[in-house]
Amino acid sequence: MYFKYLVSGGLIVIISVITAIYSLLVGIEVVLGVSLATLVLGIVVLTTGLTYGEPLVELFKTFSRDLSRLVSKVLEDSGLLSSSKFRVCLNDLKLVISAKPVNCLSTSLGFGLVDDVPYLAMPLDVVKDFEVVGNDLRDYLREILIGRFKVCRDVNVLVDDGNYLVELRSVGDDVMWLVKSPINYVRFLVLGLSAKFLSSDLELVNEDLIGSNYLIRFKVVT
Amino acid sequence: MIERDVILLTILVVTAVSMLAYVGELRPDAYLAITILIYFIYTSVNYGFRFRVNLKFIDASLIITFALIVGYRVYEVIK
Repeated sequence: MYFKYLVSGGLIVIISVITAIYSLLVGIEVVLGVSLATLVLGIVVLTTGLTYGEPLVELFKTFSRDLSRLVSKVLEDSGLLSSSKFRVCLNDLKLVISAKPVNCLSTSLGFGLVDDVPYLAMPLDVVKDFEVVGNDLRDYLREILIGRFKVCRDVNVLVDDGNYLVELRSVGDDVMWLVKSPINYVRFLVLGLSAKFLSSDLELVNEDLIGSNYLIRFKVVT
Repeated sequence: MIERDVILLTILVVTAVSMLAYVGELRPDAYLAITILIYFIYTSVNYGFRFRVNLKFIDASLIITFALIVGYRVYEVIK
């Protein structure tokens, strides 16, 4: 759905239909011909608005769903799905999921064990693309989450006793399935970006989904 | 990308319709037939447009319209 073309196409169709009816009543054949040509154009623009979709988006959605299922299965089998700690390690830009807090430096990408504690470390390469600009975390997250990825409509950040609360307001329907999946990529993104901005490792404290608002609370690991 | 496709199609249709009006073409079906032809030629040449937009319904509708126009003109000649 492409709203801009939906409105444009609708307007073109309405105007051309009115002009066609007028030319039929008055009997100006040239205007009728131009109206019919415009009507065809309007229908094409309207259809563009209704059915437009980037060809690879659906493929990537399927791919990420399948990948999400695979990673969920790995987490489930290793007992990490129910009670797990999420920690962003800034040294390698990775997110480590483990049953107990583990030392970032002892982990490497992929599945492994540190002091008999299983962990899964996933890359956060996407964060590398976004240079830290300004000195406000809220503005930084807004720029990327709203401006670039269109994840939600508004972002709010509250700092309370060393804990950060990031609130994503009105998360889009297309993004909601990602938030609800066990491998919540929005969580990765928020934690990764925040870690980069704060230049420190982070640990997820809790998260909550209230209606279409997604709340993530995390703390800086020293 | 899609913006460019729509603008190009619009330019082509507007140019063709302007030329028809300029030469004094009065038959409304001629305008419609030329627009339909431009649509099919453009979407065949620029196939990326078809990848992004589902045009099946329009294709069917416009082919039927074009066939009716041609059929009517043939009937007029035969009659």
